Amino acid sequence: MNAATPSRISLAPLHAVLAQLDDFILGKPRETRLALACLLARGHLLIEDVPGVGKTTLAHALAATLGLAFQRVQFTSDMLPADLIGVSIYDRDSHAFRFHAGPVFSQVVLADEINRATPKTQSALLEAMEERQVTLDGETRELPDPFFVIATQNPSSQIGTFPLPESQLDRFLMRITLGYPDVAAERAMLLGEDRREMLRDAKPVISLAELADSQHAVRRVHVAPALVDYVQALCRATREAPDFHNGLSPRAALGLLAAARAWALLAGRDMVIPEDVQAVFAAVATHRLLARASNRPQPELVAKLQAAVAIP
Amino acid sequence: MNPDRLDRTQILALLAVLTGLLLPHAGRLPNWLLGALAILFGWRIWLIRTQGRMPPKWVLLPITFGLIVGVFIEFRTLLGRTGGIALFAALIGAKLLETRSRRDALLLVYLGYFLVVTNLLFDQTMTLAAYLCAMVLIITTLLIGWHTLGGWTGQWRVAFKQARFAGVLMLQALPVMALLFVFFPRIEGPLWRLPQDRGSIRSGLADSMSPGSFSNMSKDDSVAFRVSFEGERPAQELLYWRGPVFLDYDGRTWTQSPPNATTSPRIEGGTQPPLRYAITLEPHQRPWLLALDMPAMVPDEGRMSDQLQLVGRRQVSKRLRLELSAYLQYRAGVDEDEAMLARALVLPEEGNPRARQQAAAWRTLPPQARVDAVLQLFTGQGLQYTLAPPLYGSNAVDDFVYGGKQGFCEHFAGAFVFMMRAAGVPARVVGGYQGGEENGDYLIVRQADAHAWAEVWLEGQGWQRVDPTFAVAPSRIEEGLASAVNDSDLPYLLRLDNNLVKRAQLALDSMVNGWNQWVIGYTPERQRQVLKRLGITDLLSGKFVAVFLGSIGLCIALIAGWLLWRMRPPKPDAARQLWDSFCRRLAAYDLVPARAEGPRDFAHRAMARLPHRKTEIQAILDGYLAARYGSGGGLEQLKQRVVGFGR
Repeated sequence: MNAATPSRISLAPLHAVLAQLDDFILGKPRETRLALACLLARGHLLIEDVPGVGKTTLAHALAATLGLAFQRVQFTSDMLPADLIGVSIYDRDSHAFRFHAGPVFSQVVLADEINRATPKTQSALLEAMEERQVTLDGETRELPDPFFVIATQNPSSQIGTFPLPESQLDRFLMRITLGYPDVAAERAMLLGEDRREMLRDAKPVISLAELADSQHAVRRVHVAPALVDYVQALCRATREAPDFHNGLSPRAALGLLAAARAWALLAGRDMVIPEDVQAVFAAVATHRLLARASNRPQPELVAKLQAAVAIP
Repeated sequence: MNPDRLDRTQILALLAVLTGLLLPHAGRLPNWLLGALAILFGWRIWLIRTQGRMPPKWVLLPITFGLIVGVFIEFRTLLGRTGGIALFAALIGAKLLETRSRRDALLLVYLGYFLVVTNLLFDQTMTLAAYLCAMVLIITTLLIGWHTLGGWTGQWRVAFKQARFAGVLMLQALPVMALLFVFFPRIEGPLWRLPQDRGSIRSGLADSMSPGSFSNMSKDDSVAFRVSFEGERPAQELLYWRGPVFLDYDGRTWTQSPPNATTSPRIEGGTQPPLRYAITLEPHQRPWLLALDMPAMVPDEGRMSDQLQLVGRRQVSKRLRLELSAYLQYRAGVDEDEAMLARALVLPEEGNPRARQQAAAWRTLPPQARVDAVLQLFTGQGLQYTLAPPLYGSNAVDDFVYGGKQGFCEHFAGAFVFMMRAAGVPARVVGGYQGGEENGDYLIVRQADAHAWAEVWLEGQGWQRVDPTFAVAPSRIEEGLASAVNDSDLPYLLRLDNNLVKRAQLALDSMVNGWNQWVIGYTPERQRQVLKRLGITDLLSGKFVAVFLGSIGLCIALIAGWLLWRMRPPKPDAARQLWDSFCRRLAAYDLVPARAEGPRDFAHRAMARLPHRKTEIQAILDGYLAARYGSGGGLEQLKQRVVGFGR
């Protein structure tokens, strides 16, 4: 075992991150943990929920707690790719074009209501997500590292939206829903401090180097052949199941494994066990599996499928 | 997307299969029905193209009723063989117009399987069987497609995989099919009475012989019958296949007098034992059976006539296999009755004066010498054997022997018998086939091998075969028709050169012969023989039925077992085996892991149930996770812990 094995890195900062996130988002430890796992696995996150349940707060809290630069972009139907990526403007003093970086040049980007933008703008963002770089006027510009996109979608209003096609949904490692808080959590939130002020005062609890180490450590979490069997069995089941249009792609299988590794790391384990895969499966698979009957993601079908696949 | 909705490609495939299955019936169905079916099929295709609405019930019902009435008017029945098929086809056409869902289409698929069977009621040739096998493969592929989720995906690769699966299914059914074929009790006679099918008379021997009737057949290479000998094949010049006997002559046409089977002359064989052989006749719609000259026994299927001809009990309207034997040396009809001999001397009142005169001059010679004299006359006149003889006038014999001098076998046989009768020797013309072509272990005799020869009755020797054609053109008899005439006039198959096409055709014929012998020829009689050899005498005995059903069950069990064995899960690794054994121990506490329950979740559940063994369970869990999902190792320790857990 070499120096970077998970057992050797300190998990304390990561646990501190989780603790602070749970202070901001009350009563959703599982969702915040998934969001952090997604970031550690270098994936992007899609949050699909009704307005006002804390999507923005979660994104903001993540950025603040990790000490990352944060930008929020409200997507609208008249938005152009330049509004996102940036634009070169002629500078009279220097007699040259100067690049004015758009909001995408940020470590954490919150793309609010991504399905309101035109496909052209959507694809500009999704391309940046995949390549982690932006090419403009023949010049390629690296995006910051880490680069983490949190996109939100409002499922209830579909009028005047451009739903993301399956190929683009596939680029989000996870899709989570926050849902309404339970009574106790909501009460604590109502009685507690104002979230805005809390966020303004929040201090990062992990250094950039520690975060990068953690991301490296995720890749080194051990995956045994028996576990790959299980991941393959799950993927095969989605491809053979009658309920879905398409099964999970190989990219999704890779994502599932990466997410399970991150989950195992957060649990302080240096190997992935089937429970890790199960913990992230719904978040990784649901948005990729459109049900035949409704043409929409159906979490209960995914849960049924997972329960039907025996662990090899 | 409704999974029960039909894809247009699926409907088109269904239409294509049904068309393919109705195609062999096309000749049996009336034209108006074929037209109606074409309209119904076309309507359905049009509906697919235009995405139009299906016709409502009040349109469909009159159409269906009209078709049923039409069939009834045409056939006077809705049952029966052809009428039943017509009704069936009409209803399939109507059903197509209300085929919306997968359920309807499945019904049509099953009807398709039934259509396959109906084709076999009319025809059991190998070609049709091969065609129907292909059709079954296609329907089964369709059926698999409908039961595979997603159905037709538009990918040929998937369709090909499904077809291969269908093929595997058919191969798996093969042993059961073979068992049923061999052992299932055969039914005597056809299921339906065969119609008197006047339209399907094949060219072949007729019950009369006039100039040109044999030379016309020389262009017909279709098979008349096939023969396999039990022992050595006799020489070519002994292969005279005896058919109708032509006794009466009106100056132009020799006609067969109806064979009378109540009495028949005595036949004595020579010193050699009779030659045994099996002959498979193609249907020729005539009652007579062909047999090697001279038949030594009378088969169950026929009788011996007063003219030494084997006659069947009914027309040969389907392929018939006979086991016969023959004397190559014989004395037949030594005690022939006077009436027959008198008829064998009758000549027309007038005509052919020159032949009559010359023959009458030989009346003083002994009978054998008269025969030789006529044969010498024929060779001396320089008569020629040809496929295209000229047409002779009212004095056909004179014109042939002294004039044109060109003739085919009917001219030779006719002229010879005429002159023998004029010379006072009882004689008659015998029609049949001569020779045959060797193909592997059997002989093909074609229509073109049709031949006519003569028979003369000599005191003390009975009826003796005399072939005047042999005297003039011995190569016709010794080497076959093609060597005796200019063979470019003959069809391809009958020519001498042994080219690739001919060899391929012969190989195909060999297959067809095998099919006829072993599949079509597997009659109740043969089944009894085969089973007798296996020691089974009573097909309906309880023991036999038990063995029969048992062997079918065994077949299915073997295939199922093989499939299960192939699908068995891979043998789990050592860590998993230990874990499984741990799970079995926990089963005593009513703790069984759920299907998708992970090892940690299960262990935690077990610890909650058995708090006093918490540390043991935790140790086993840690050991298992490390061994199977970690970097491995620690198996020995895990084993000890698991074994120790039981105590």
